[in-house]
Amino acid sequence: MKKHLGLLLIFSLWLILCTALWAQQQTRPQEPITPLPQSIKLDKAKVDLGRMLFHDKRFSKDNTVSCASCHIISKGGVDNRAKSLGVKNRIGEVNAPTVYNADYNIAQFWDGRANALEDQVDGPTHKPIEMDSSWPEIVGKLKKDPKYVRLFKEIYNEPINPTNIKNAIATYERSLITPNSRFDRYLLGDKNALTPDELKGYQLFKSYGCIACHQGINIGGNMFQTFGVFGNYFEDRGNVTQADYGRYNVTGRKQDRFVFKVPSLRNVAITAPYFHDGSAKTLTDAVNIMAKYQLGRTLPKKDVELIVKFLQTLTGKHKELKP
Amino acid sequence: MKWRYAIIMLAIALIIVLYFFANSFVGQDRYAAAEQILRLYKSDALALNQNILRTRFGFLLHYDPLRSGLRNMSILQDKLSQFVKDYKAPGIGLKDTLGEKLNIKKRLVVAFMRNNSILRNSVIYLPVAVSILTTENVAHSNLLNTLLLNVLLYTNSANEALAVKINNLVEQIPKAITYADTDTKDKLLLTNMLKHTKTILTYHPRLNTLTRQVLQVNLTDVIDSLSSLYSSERDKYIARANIYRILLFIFSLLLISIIIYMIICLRKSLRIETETNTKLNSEIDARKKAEEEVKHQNVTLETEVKNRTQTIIDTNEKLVNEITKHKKTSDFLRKAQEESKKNQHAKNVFIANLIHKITTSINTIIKNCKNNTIADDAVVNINKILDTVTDYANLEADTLNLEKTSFDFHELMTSCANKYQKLAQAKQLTFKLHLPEDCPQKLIGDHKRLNKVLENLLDNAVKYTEKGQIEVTVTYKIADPDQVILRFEIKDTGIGLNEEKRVHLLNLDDNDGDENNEDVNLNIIYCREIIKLMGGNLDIVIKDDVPGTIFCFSVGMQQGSKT
Ligand code: HEC
Ligand code: HEC
Repeated sequence: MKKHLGLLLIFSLWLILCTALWAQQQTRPQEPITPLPQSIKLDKAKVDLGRMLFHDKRFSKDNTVSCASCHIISKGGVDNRAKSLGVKNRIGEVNAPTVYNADYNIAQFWDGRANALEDQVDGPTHKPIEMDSSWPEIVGKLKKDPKYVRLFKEIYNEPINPTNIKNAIATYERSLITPNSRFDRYLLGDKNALTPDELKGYQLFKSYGCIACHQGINIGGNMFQTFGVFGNYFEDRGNVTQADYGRYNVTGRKQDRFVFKVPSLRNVAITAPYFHDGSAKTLTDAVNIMAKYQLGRTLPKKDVELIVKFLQTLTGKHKELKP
Repeated sequence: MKWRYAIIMLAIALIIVLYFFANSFVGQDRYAAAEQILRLYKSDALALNQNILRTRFGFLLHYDPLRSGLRNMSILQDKLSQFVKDYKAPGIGLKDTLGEKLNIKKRLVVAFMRNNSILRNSVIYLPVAVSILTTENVAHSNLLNTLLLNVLLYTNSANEALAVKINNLVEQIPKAITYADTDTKDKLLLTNMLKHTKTILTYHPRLNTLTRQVLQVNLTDVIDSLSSLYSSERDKYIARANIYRILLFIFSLLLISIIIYMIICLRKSLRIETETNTKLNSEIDARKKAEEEVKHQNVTLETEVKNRTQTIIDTNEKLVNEITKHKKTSDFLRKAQEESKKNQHAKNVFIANLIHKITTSINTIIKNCKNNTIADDAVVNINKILDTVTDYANLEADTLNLEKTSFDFHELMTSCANKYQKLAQAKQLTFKLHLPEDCPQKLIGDHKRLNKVLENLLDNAVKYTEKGQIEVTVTYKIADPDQVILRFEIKDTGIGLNEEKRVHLLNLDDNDGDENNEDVNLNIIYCREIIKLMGGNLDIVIKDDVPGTIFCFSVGMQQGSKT
């Protein structure tokens, strides 16, 4: 018996050694950024229903604004305005972030007040300056459309209700991922995907420490960060609004003042203008501001250009995205 | 009847089995699901703690594991709440504590990430800045390197004395190191470096506290107590389900045995039916053969009338024997299938058939025997036997109904006496009838059968008595105004019986095989049954000193109108 145990032990050790060696060979050099998956499994019927709802103007009080009005799917999921226009052309408080890859964010909105994509839908629909509607109103309108009544019956086996609507939209948003950016291809082992300049830009992005905040699968989006760690950005800009207090508006705690969700940098080249206030018109501006207020450093012009070049390789592909 | 009960029992057993089946699964899966949730929750909580430490010491390159860990735990917490709500499960307090702790942990982890990134950047930047500043101006290297060394030492300890030292240096350096106004680049670099040093001084202790706090929020102990609560709850349900499973097992056995029993019954009754059918067929064949024989004998009718008549009688006797035999078989079958109505019916049909056949064949014979006086007697005899057989069949089937006609009792007795007087004389025996004068004359009852009983018994008496006399004594008793009880005693001086034989005769059974005395037995059984129907009892008395046998019985009759 003892003899067998010994043999077993040796055999298992050998097995572990083999797998360890094999694993060693398999792993590529570790990077703080990971590529997006090619696709994710979702219920296609729900995705299609969500797409219809996303583009449906009946979600707004006067039937003029759909989700897609501010998150133009073919243009990177943003409206490219500093601040979005809602119903009756009311101007919003903050810049509209992209809906692409939004599911990888730690929370939704700049201040992270919604946890999941489902909860997020309540926000724009009810906000007076965005859609200015309410669930009874929206459900009432959708119920008049036999097509929706049929689809909801088929897919959810339930009458139209806010929970289903939110789930459909969120499922659609989950389908909005943009894999196959040049940088992702580089991560997946295609050494020729990046030019030497771009690769240098990536090295600088890492060595300057942008990577400390913008990292992970979404190159950002996985944490909250004070805007203005080294220096008071808001004082320098002037004209502080309620929205500038960021996460403080949600938690009411002093240390959350001026704290925002770190935005994802995927597709950043096509989502100008930048920051929650939409104050940076170009990537160069944004990178300079980042360097000054987030890194507490001044970067040479040349390095900024290289980083911008790197940021431009982050634009991925999706069949509805036509940059 | 039996089938109906069996089917009802089957249905009940089936319902009970289904009920037990349904109950033997209730409850445990849902607690298994809850335990699964808690298991995942716990492993996520443990992984989160590990990832915090790995991040703190730079082993993790990005925060995605922390982000997805928090998200998974939130989802699991929601599932847990849903579970507690859906099943009204216990442990609401624990679940709420867990939720509160998770929220605290989330807040701390988010703060941890924020502070960790900033501290990381500053710690990485400081050596870079110092090396640029010192290579450009070697004069400052001493002071700056001291600062760097102290900061690096500080970041790897919790020594607050170092913090004081660093603070002093940060105050000293701007005074000690000055640049020309034109040298804005170095000036800015120096201020940035000092800013980062200050950042380290504030973020390092803060991060240490945060790390400690995150690890101190212990989710696993709450999860453990919840899962032990749910596993004991699950055990309870399993114990309950086990009882149902045992019951299920027992009742399944019962169900199976009922089904097997039913199958066996079904097969048996099928087999008996086919057996009866084959018997019936062979009977018909025998009948046909007999008929052919009769026909054959017709050819030599003129010369062999006597022989032929005898043959007919023999044949018929044989028939009777065969009927008796067959009855015995069918009675045996009836025993096996005691309550089977169906079978009883089959037998009745069979006997009815048989009698029908005999009647037809007799009728053929009668037709052939017209104008033949010798055959007449035989025909009368056969008719008598047939009547008996009919009665017998009816007795067997319990369908014999006594007639109720009024008749003259005295006349019946005298005609009977006359008949046997002659028969007795032929054998040189004396025959006596004692009938009280005042015995009621008009009675209501089945006189034909009474007559037949008397004749049967007298036939026997005449048959077995060689010399001496045959005596019939009638006594009566009026029980109530309507009812007369008549007692008959038929005494002969024949060979007599011993006790054994007497008991045997009285207890004769339909299927007692006594080949020699078949007809006697049959007669006695017949009499006994008819007497029983008339409310009396047949008895045989033997007296040691007097030779012969006394058959006695009494019957009840209704009195007819006195007029
Ligand atoms: C009036 C323009 C407007 C409309 C209409 C609108 N949004 Fe937005 N959306 C915004 C703005 C502005 C924000 C950022 C708000 C904030 O952070 O406070 C935002 C944020 C979001 C986010 C969070 C993204 C992130 O990374 O945090 C999602 C997801 C989103 N919107 C989806 C939707 C959906 C779904 C609809 C339709 C129901 C919709 N939006 C309608 C302007 C709009
Ligand atoms: C300390 C954390 C931190 C560091 C380090 C940091 N960022 Fe940011 N970054 C942020 C935050 C927070 C925001 C969002 C600020 C806002 O809009 O309120 C942001 C926003 C941005 C944006 C705008 C994205 C958008 O869609 O609006 C860009 C581009 C960007 N950062 C690039 C960089 C680059 C390049 C670096 C390195 C030079 C860098 N960041 C370093 C935290 C950081």
